Amino acid sequence: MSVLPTTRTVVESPRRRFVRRFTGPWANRFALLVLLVWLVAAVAAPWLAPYDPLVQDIDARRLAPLSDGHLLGTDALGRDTLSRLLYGARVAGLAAITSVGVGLLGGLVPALLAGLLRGWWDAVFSRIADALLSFPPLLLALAIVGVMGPNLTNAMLAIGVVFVPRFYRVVRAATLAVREETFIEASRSIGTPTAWILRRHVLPNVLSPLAVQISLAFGFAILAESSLSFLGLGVQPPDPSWGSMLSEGRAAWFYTPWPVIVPTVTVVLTVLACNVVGDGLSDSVGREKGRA
Amino acid sequence: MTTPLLSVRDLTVEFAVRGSWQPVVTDVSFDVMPGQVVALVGESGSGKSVSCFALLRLHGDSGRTSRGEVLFDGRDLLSLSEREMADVRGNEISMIFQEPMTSLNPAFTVGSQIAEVVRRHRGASRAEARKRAIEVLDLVGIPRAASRIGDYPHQFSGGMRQRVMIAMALATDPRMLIADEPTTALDVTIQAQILDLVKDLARDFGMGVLLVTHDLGVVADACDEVVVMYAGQVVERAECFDIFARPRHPYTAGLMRSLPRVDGMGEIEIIPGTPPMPDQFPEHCRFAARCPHAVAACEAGPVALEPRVNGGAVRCVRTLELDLRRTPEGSLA
Amino acid sequence: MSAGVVGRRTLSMLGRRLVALVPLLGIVTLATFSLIFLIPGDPAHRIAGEGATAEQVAAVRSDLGLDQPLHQQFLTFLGNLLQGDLGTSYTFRTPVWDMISARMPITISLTVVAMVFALLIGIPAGVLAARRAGKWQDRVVTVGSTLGLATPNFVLGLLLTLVIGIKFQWLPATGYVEMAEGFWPWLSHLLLPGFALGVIAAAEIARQLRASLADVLRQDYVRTAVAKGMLPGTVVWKHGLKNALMPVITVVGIQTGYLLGGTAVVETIFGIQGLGDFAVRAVLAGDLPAIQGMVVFAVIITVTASLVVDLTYGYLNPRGESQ
Repeated sequence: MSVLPTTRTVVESPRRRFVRRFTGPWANRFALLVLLVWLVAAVAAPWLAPYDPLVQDIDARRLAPLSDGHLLGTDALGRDTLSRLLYGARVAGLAAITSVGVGLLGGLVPALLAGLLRGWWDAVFSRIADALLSFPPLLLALAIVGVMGPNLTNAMLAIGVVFVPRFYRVVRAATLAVREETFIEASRSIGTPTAWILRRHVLPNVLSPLAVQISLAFGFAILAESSLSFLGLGVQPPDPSWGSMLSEGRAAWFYTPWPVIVPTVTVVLTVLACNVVGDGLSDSVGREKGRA
Repeated sequence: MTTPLLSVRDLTVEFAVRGSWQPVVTDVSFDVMPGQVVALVGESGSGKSVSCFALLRLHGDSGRTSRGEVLFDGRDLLSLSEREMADVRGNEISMIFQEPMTSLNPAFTVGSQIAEVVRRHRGASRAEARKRAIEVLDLVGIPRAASRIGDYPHQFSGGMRQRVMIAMALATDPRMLIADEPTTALDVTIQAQILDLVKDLARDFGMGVLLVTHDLGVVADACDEVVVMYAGQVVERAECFDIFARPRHPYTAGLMRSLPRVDGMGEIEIIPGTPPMPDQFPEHCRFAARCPHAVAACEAGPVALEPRVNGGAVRCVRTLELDLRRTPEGSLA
Repeated sequence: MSAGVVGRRTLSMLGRRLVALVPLLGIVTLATFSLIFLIPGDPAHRIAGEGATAEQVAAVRSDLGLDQPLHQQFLTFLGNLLQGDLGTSYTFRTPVWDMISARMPITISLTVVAMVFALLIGIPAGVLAARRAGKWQDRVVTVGSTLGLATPNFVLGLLLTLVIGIKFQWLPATGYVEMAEGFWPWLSHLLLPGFALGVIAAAEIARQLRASLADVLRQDYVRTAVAKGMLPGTVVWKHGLKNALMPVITVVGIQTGYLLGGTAVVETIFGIQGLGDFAVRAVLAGDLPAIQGMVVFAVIITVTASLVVDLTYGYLNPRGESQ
């Protein structure tokens, strides 16, 4: 590509085109900003949090936001809502990353094998994926948590299992599609090793549909973690999670709605941001097509 | 002579192109008499399909009719309400389209799609509508019509589907049929059958037909009157035999020279170049840029549609000086 | 002629699907059986509970057949399953099947109400957005459905019960009343939870329908329908919708499973003692037979839903092309 360096400014590179298209709509930029804020919050929670999220202050219970040094107020036990929210972001982020990691671990390799080798591998893996897909996702997670015992680690594993067949399907389909393209045939015919084909041709092509699935999975993971924690099957009290904050806040709702409202807005906003990023990615990757 | 069934006056249609309205069809006028088959001819992009979509107000939000009248039986269709227009469509004026493969709804049986029109416009009962569907399918030559009304479009060939479309268009005994390139998607033998059918129906039922085509062979076979369009304008309009015997506009002549001759005489010549896009329509003669006879006068200003020798109208400043017959002595000088 | 052909084709399609189900159900059964291996440590110990004596643990072990070889255990599990025996719950001390069948009507009522909500909101919203594609109505539906998709069941359920149920008391905040006690009492108890459960499905249906209907409305046959004088309502709701519904039906099938999972959360919030509540209790107690029973039951429902979806395809798409 260095033969004609001047053309690079004329023809937009795929990466630049993707960035231009993705950052076009304001909703995408906003969603990205929300996720960045939470990423920072999750990483830096111990330094950012003004209080210990577990410490109860009897004299500062049920404070409204912006009062007495508590930016988002306190809950019925006098714990600082902002601090709990920041530590909750940690849990949500950890849950999302771990479960997506589990999903990738379990889905990616079988999918590449099935897509490239076809035949027996494909048949077996695809049947297993079909079977896993016939479990309602939340119930599958519930069952796994139920058997392994209710705690955050098991909840994350369980959510990850939900993702396995979904990632498998996307990657397999993309691999199959790439396999049909002539450059792979050509590559094979001149004896290129499979690993090289994978790295050079398949992975880049699999990446964009997978990125879409991953950002949607992040949304679902956050939703599922908060649901499980809400039910008492994820994060165990007194540790903070957005789900458990809601379930603890509901009893005192009449006196202080804030401990309910704050995590509600947080969960909705974060899942929304994940979904918007996912939709934005799927609109921006691939070949240029006319927008309807 | 009788009054025209359809009279189009100065029809101008604009489309939204990059935020501004561009005229795609300008000042188109022609008449269709009862029982007459009128051809609307031109290359693709000449505005002939747009014109006939505009007659029934079928262009979507991206198009609008900015000027003109479409008088059907004395009523201006352009001033009707949406509801009144829907009562005209498929009832008094029916339309068939270019693509028989995609113009029928794949999810309903052909019988129900025909019966639906009858019920909508005639208030017929289910049984009556079904009976009528069989009748018209039979009329357009679909064998064993009674047993085929329960079939879905995909169970018919392209030619048969176009017959179904025609049957559907005729089910309400419309007084006027607009056919937008009804045969382009079909092979030659089927083309001839479909055209014969349309011609017969016009004659037998006194139906006016507007036949849109880019195929002059079709015109010669089936039509009484020809309207030639180029770049959104009518460039020549005349009785069919006369326009073939002696075209008076270089574009018409060019179209005819691009048609193979039955006697094998003369060469097939394609008009060089392409028609201009709507946003590049010049003020002067729109064909001048491609015209072999163009002189300075052609680019002096707008050219009006003037009465033509032997009847009709033509839009060319040199029409009286040129002999455009496709014969050795009239060849290009 | 055609009716017979369609009928026969549908039947053979159904037959093929049923055959394809055999390996699927096999894997599902194996997976469900294998749940026992996920139990950390000694399953018998765990199931018997914290303070169980050695005899109690031994009893549990022989009761569950855990002292037998693996293949024997699986065959017993499979045999029982085929006879409709899902084992006995440890926490409820009742056969799992009895628990499920007693609670089933409640959860089915809730799921049906939720799905009715989803369809009543999702379909008109999707149609509106498709007809006004690019206009403000489209944008409102898009924003609404994006928001709906991002709102967890428990968040919405909580807000509904707190605001409408408890603060304004317009509708019952908790509990369930059987239909035998009157239609309105039954329905009024299901409106809030049904709505909370159905919103995500509604959003998904609206999105999918908007996409497919907007595409269908650009097709030639829709233009034909307009050209033959059909009124706008008929064009959209008859000619458009029947062709646009396939992807929506797929969504409905998938969402049936999601709704079933969602009942766990929603029933807990609204104090409804259905299958979702049963599942949560079983999970909290680590009640293996109950969990396995729930899983099997859920799979049966989702598989049935996907069969119904396939049958609907045959009606919507007479060409019978496989999707």
